[in-house]
Amino acid sequence: MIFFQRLFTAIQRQVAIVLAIATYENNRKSTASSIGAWETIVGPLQLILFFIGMRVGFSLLRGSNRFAAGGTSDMYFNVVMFISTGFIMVFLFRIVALKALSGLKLRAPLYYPRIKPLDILMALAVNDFRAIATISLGIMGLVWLFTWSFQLDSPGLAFVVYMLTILMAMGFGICVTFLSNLNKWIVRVIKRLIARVLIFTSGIFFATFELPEYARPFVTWNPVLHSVELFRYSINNQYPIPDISFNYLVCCSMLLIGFSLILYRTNELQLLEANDD
Amino acid sequence: MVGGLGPSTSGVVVSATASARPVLTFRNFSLRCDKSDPRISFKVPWNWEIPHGKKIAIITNSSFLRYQLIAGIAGLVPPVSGDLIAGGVVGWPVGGSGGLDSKLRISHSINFLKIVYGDCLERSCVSLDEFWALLLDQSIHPNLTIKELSKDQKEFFYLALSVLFSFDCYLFPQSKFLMSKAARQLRKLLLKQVEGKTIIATSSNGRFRSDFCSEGLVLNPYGGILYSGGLSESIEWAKSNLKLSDDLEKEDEQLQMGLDLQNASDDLSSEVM
Repeated sequence: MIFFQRLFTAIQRQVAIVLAIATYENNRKSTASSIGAWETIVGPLQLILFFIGMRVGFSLLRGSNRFAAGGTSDMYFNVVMFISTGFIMVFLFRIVALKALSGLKLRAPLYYPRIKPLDILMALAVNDFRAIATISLGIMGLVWLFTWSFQLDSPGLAFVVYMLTILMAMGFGICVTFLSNLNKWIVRVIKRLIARVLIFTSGIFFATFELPEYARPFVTWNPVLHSVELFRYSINNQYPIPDISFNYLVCCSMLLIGFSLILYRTNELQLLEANDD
Repeated sequence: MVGGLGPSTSGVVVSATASARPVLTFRNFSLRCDKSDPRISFKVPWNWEIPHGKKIAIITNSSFLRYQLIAGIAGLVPPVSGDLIAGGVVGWPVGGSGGLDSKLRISHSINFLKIVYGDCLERSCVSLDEFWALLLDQSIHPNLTIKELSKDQKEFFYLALSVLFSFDCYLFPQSKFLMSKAARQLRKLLLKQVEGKTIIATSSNGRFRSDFCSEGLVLNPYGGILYSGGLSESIEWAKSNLKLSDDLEKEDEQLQMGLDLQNASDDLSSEVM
């Protein structure tokens, strides 16, 4: 009983520490730039708006319905909803992964013996997840307001997929943090590679059912595509998701988070020593 | 003064508060001893423990070993081998400026540490009101950022932070500001705060040693224990057997704790695609 009480207190304290570091980072940003802590939201938002603008522009040039997603996916979503659901899930993953590849940028709190590198990685991820959640709720709210058609067929599935993507992003982020010790040019190449592969294979611009059957295996290996498509499916259950599997997403998330925690446990000291300068 | 232990290969490091256990236990513990060669470490790894309430002044003529000892116990540098098991809360180096970003406001910094070391604040004999009154006396207002403080204000602020929390083990790498006139009030509070607590000090300031420490531990540059006993006997022993430099404190200032723990700017926007 005492063991569980101690365990619960320790977990409670650790959660408080992670949230304190997340606030530390926001406070640091709030005095550093003119837009302050909003920077975390403004960065991804401007990129989402840019791609939505591009997609709407192309639709207009083609002369099709300006609210349509283009292709056959317009039967299920309007363009803003389609692109933003893709971006929200992909950004959830890529921000954490790319940030982690640069190593621990927030190192000063490690000065306090109670703070460990994992706390910092989790705190930075918490800030990103909060920002992306704010953006997604904002965009969905606006779309529902303008089209006056509220649709969220499976809220439970949406929540679970969101949480699994967070776990997967955390796991991938912790794994790639150890790569930050490599030569900076190699890290830069890996970073660009991950960014491009994620953008073009995660289903931001296309739906899996639009692809011919023989082309699907080239993208369905990517678990982020599964989270994007399942998230869209949770909003509209009519949306077809061939070759998309919830089990695959669960397996990838659990394997990544499990492997990353083992990797972290055995190599924690490397993160204390690593300095990308 | 120190209890011997058998060698162990245990990799488990426990951190909890329990006064029955020694505050620090070294198991096969070894640190770097040479700044230029990372392969040179303790000739005989440490296997001993420090009970609660001991106030030990470390006396050695190697400034790098003094730095490594404090940084190693604080967890800022990893040991070359072995483990350090903490049986209580080990504080950050007293007066250390490493953990807070200069862009943080004073109120942000205190709120952050209040959460991280909340349990140490609960049992502290210095109240937050007392702490804020001390800061306001020095014109350190809650809405100022750390970078806006003058050098003296910064030193006062960082020392005040160390005084505010009650740790089981205090680490003193330097004591120049602590023993200055400007820090008289803080010194009084700190003396009250460290009553019954463990102190590990590498500061060579004589007045500091006599005020804060009661025992001495003389080490050779490779971590070997040459002498341990009462403070005055240890100092005498070191004076007659070690070649001590005249300005040890100045040497220590060149080795600043946690210098590699600087926050870098986050430049993700340039890596968009």
